Amino acid sequence: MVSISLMPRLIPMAALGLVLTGQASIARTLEVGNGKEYKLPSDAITAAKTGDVVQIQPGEYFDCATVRANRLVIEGVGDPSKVVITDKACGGKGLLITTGNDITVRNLTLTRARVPDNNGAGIRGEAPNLTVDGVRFINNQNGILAGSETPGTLTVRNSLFERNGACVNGSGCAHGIYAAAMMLLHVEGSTFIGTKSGHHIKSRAQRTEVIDCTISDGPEGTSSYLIEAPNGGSVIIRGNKMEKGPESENRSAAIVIGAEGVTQPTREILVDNNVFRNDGSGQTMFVNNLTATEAILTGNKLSGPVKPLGGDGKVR
Amino acid sequence: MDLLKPALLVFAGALSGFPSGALAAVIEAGQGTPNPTLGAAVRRAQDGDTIRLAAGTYYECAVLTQQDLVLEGAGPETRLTDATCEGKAVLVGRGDRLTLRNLTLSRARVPDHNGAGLRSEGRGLTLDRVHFENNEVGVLGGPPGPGVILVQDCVFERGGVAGDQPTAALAIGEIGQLRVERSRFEGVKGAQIVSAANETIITGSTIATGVEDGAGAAVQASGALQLTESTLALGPNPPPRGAAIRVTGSTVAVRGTRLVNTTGQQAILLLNWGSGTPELSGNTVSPSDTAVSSAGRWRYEAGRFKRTLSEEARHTAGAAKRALKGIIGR
Repeated sequence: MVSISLMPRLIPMAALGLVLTGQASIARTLEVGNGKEYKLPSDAITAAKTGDVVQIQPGEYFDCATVRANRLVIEGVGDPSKVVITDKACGGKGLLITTGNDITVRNLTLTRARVPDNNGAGIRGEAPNLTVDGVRFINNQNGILAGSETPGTLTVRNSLFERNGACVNGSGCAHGIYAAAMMLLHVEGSTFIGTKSGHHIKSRAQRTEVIDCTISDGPEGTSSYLIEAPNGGSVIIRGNKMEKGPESENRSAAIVIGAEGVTQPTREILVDNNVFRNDGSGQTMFVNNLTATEAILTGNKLSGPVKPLGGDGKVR
Repeated sequence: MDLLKPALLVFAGALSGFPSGALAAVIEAGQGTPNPTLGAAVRRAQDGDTIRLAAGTYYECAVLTQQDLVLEGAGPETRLTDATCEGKAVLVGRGDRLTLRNLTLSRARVPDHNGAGLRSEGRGLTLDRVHFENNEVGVLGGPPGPGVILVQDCVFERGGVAGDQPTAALAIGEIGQLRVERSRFEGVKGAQIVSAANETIITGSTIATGVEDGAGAAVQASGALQLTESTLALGPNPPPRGAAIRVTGSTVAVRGTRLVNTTGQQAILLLNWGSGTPELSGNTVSPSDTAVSSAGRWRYEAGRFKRTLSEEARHTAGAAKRALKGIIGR
């Protein structure tokens, strides 16, 4: 009853706010490509305002950009494998650097990012709430490197991470996805294949969710772990198809939690209904839990030389 | 002002022998103070200072290198948890004469599976009302030498698992003296007190062992042992050889202590593998249990002799190899 009586007052005040702040402007669509207003993605991204959409036509763009506008959508048109941003790194960081909040990147390919620090990323996320949907990350040092102690989230859906990763002596490793101490990393319906040296997914987030993905070294992948949460945090790994390959550079485990010291509240560790195969000759551990929170493993199908669990927890 | 330098502390410092002229400070830490983290306070602390950590849960670890440092919480609700330093412990005490008071250290896990609430690497340690909860090891360490570790009014509960193997609540090296007073051990999976101190003195404590899988002894001492006015509770799982206490030192006294056995098997209050005659008086042991036994002592002695021979043989072989290398090298 109270909320209904307030509504007539709130609506005019909100409308007045929009007029005063200019937020009522309609989001524009900025088109990129041959014959379009903008020749390069970076031209459109620089011109974009809050809430705009940058649409990129098929083509190979030797380009990079810093995305400053909030709530921007950057999307490829048509087949994502034909909309390719490649080779160039801005700020010594990556192909796309997101400094605006609530950015969405979808339906395109980001490839061949290299920088002197060996952490060149397809996307370098530096602001909260980045969404990645249907993006192909091919042969970058990092696929996505995101979150500088921000409270936000990184959501990745329906994307492909192929042959990303790098470890160089003295300068650490790059990974398929590397999420810093953000609130949530959610990865769903995505494929990780042939990651090199680093981990397919490394997350320092307060909560890490990996759902319905395929994570595989394949015959040539040299990854370390499939998933690592080095500082703990809640971890949910559900419904994935996972494989540790014969060339893996770290045979000890597939999933490791807490190896660098637990600094995140670790409220739950649930690993359920996954299929895992170890294609290496030596034994590996499916989950190595180095936190004091019990890992609950339920309904997983394991094959090859594999021990289900190390550390605290239960296998059901 | 978070740095208080009361004259009383300066006076106390002068009496206790830390460097003359040093001003012992009280450093407030935790939420609502200028040092919101323990780490910030530890970086500021000097020898002889006291860090007062407010109530709260801190996902932090620290290496305490200062001499005569006091770290005190506001009670069990001041909790340092989960984080470990140097792959060792929630707190690594490297300075001499460290005091920890009135706080909880919990959930230490490390890749080597010996994650401790406290790793003690300095000489002299006082633990006063510290609650050790669900660590792989409660307290581990005590460097060889003449130091004293005093554990008073502390609680050790749950944990005690290193990987799949049980460990201990309190595992102390070859120090001068370990004193455990009015403390409680409960629900730790391995042994409770494992002491290589020259002298171990336990009074007024309740030591329960044998919960869940992997029970260990209540007390295992390789130096002199005095155990008085305590309760040793076994069960439901029996300890190895059914012994609540296992000693290999030559001087042992157990007085006024009650053995409570719920294992369903015969238990032994004291398994004496030392060379001396133990002094037992005023203990309460059920007629179905045994007060003292030396069963297995000769096997233990034979094993020890064999290990000594092996070490001697290795030492001799190594010396011969080095000598030969020296001759050939000339």
